[in-house]
Amino acid sequence: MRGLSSQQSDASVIRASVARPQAFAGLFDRHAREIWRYACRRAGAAAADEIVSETFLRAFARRAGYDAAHADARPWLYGIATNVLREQARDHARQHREIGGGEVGDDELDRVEARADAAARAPATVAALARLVPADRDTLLLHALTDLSYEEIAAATDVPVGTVRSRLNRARRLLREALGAENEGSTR
Amino acid sequence: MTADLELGRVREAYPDTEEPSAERLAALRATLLREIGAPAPRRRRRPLVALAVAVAAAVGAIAVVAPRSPQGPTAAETRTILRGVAAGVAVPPGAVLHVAYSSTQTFSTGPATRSRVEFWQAAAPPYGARSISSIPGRPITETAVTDGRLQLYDPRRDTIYTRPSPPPYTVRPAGAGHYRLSPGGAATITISAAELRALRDGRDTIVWTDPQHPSVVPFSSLVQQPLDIRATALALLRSPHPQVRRGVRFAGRPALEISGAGRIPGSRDSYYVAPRTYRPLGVVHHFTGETVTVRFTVYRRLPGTAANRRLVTLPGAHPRARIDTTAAGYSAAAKRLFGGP
Repeated sequence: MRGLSSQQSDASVIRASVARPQAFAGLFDRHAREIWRYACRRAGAAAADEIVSETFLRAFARRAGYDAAHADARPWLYGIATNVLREQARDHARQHREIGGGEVGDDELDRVEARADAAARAPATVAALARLVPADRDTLLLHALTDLSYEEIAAATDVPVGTVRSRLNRARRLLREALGAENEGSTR
Repeated sequence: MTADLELGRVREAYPDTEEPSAERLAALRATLLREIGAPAPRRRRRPLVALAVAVAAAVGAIAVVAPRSPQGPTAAETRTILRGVAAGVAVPPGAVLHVAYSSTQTFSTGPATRSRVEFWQAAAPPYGARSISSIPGRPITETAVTDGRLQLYDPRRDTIYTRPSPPPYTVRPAGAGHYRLSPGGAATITISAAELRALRDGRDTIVWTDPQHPSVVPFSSLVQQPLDIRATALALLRSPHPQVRRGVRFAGRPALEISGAGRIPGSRDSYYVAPRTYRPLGVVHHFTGETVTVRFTVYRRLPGTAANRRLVTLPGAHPRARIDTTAAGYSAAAKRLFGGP
């Protein structure tokens, strides 16, 4: 990004973008690839475009309120992306119910495809994840699919770090139980 | 089971296998800048040179001088949109384009034909494409073009049939950057230098609509019916005055429409993309009483791994299939599978 040093923190870039909106592209250049890969793993490649687009637009709209104490903006962006993923999944499920399972949009197809891919690879894991409450599932997926620390996941999901630990413990226990039952069932 | 094993199971279910292409990120970045109302920053040299090369390779020069229509974007906005759309169509060298679509072909004189097609296409030498096509009431067909030669797959016999090599053609200069090809018999074709280049490097191939009228077409058109999607989109972007309309809908979704002269003289095409991401949604092709509407259900670029390259060829997709290269075998298979000669 012209005029933005790679030495500058994300917080500095975000602060600069309040006066100069185009500076926000610097944040995109630093983190879009990583956020895209996270979105792609969860929702498929084509849906990832929309999720990244929406994530950075929301981040831009909220940039003035960004807490400059967090030099690294990745937890903030992962948190927004996770909310976008959850909202879009909810919207798609609602639309699908309203249209009675008729014509399905492309994004829905992408999601179905991504879920089908995941289910084909690891059906028991996907079924077990589907039974978790959304907050526990999102926390577990942030932990498993990104390199965020517990503290960063806490910042991403806007909860105390103790809550992250308890969500992860609960999610892991339920996953362990479900997969253990699956293993027992498959060996009988 | 330890915690690491649980996380391993989750990562196995959601593997990290795909990278966004530079063009894809550039299109998203351009969209972001447009949406936030920021003037486009001066281009950074290294990444955008790479992007420009990829896009230019895909679409050629896009020189747009589009006057602003009452409901249309400005000329500058149109240029930005077309650059984004071009980036959306561009396939990085080595990558594999994977597309699935449903199409409806309507005629002024008869009933409509519906079909579903899924194809995989290599975007760098060795060029190739494989396609699975289904039309209601007919058997599913699977074809491919490899090294410029058409192949058919018969699932009942688990056999791949290869069309015999055409006779070699001769080339003579025909003046003003054109060449005359004699691909056999008395028939000749006059083609441009660019077409000759494409023919030689395998992007185009010669087909005979009848024995006296050979023509040079993109190899991909042999396996994408009724419309060669990517060639159609590229021709539209290269056309002299493509028009952009916002606020339209395609298959019930908000869309940008790019319309203009089609690849076939006298035809008119409209190409629809998602407004923010320029993700391809569909194509509508009009030509003398015929309309083809294509709606994409999958449009993605796969990294050029060995596994993905195998998707492009019939032997790759059916590694245990027998291969029959005889003219008689091909002819009989074509008759069985397509009912044709």
